[in-house]
Amino acid sequence: MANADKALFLWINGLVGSFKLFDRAIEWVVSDYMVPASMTLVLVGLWFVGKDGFTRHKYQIGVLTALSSMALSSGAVFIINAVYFRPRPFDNHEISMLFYQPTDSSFPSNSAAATFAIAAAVWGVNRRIGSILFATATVYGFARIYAGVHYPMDIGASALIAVIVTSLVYKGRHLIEPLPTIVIKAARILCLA
Amino acid sequence: MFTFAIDYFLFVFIACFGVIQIAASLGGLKGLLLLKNPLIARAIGLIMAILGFVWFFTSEDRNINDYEGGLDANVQALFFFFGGLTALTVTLVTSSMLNMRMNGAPPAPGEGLGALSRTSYIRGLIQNLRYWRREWRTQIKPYFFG
Repeated sequence: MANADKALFLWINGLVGSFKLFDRAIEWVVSDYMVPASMTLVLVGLWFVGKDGFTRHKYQIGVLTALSSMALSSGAVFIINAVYFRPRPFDNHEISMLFYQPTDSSFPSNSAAATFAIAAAVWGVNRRIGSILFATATVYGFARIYAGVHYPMDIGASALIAVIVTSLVYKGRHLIEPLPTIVIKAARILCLA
Repeated sequence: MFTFAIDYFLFVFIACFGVIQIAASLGGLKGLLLLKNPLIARAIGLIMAILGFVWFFTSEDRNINDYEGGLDANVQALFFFFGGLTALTVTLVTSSMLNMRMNGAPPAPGEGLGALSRTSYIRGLIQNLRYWRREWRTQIKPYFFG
């Protein structure tokens, strides 16, 4: 499986240089700021966008879930990184890089876990926006592979961690209720929710 | 790192300001809009959000490692929070000043943002706080735990 992962990575990364415009686009998408910031901006918008009180409350619960899932997924990645270090692709292969060389573990990807966690949490409250965010997170994950930062399995594992953590957060939400509802109701007193 | 962080803060501020205008127009929260026409407010919001991205990503190379001047994930989250908070504060203050004459029915208890469809933020907030100052002894328990 590890060999298939490496072979797939080498095939994808081998395409670098074939299409200059595509490479340029990937340099933007792969950035630490472009996709994570865009997806967080979607959460900001989601907080305000509901047409009625019920929808707004549902979306706001989704936003709180997304923030919790993002933090917990990053925590899970941090723990895995602490016990298992996988060298980055550029440490083991002669490859083309479209990004700087990070020094932390390759497996799993923290940034991909965060974006997939947001997508999964939003999918729980709005299938259409959630699907768009899943597609965005997938493009971001692909860009990280193409640019030489991660192996495909790093991204796949991150997506899996994010989806599992988010579904646990949704399932376990009743355990911490009424805390999220109290937060939203307190914000409503200040006309902020 | 400091210049990079300031740039990131400004980028988040501009983009967030735009996104709030788009979301407020979609959600019918006229009290948060800076322009009376929701479609124009949405268009301006979209232009601001796009401008924020274009400026941030074209002005300099942003693919920089955190120990070479970029931002690590925690600092990035912190500056996103402050950028977003500043954008929200500026939106609330300016929209309250521009929509001073919006004077719809006071917010129902627990209505929150919904009241901004007919009143400005500052009016809604003051009316809400007046209600809660008067009624908190009897209402706080049923409101939060009812």
